[in-house]
Amino acid sequence: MTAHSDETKQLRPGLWETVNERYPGSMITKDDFVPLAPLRKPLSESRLTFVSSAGVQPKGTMPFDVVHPVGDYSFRRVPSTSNPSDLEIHQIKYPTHGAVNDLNVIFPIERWQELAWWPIWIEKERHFCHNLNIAVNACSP
Amino acid sequence: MSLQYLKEAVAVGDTEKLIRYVRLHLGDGNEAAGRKEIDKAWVEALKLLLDVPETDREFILKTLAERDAATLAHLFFHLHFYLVQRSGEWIHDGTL
Repeated sequence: MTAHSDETKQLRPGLWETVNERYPGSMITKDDFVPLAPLRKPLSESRLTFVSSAGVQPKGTMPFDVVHPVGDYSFRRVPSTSNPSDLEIHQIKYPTHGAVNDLNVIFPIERWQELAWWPIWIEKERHFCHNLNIAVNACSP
Repeated sequence: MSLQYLKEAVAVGDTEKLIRYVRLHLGDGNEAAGRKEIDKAWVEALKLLLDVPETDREFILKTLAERDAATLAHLFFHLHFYLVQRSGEWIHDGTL
């Protein structure tokens, strides 16, 4: 996604103008190059872990803090055996209607479970999710 | 706008930078919207007290006396979003 996309209609005009100001480095631009990590061992010996910033978490865990001015650095472990009905979303920065109808659009846990027949060990208890609402550099000492 | 940027603003007393950050946060990236959101929360709070309903002042005073300032500041942000949500005019894409 680019910082300015004419094709993508925003709910509120001007939203992107301040994204980089609020969360520097959070928007990937065409100038950025992030090389993919090559697979260095057979799939059968590999483990998959899903790391997401979608704000998805198991019901009953402390809700992500979406009101804090600097953000929430915490994460939740999402068991790989979870049903979408076991999970909920706490996220103020994107429309969640679609994801509430089908969580897989932002957190494709059922798609991952369908991969179980693949020769891949999908690591149990080790999907991670945190909340996107973080002021970048806040983790720096 | 990083934490370092904000801390430097605090150090030199540049409150304009700080309030801009707050407005951007509350306005979801739009400073003018953030200003309106702040007003909206205060209006909602005022409306709730106009009939002078009985309130739990004991809880309020106890909380103010016993809780640390950071927790109270955090509560302040929670109360803002609570009041904005209660107003029925929700501008944010997602939910709390």
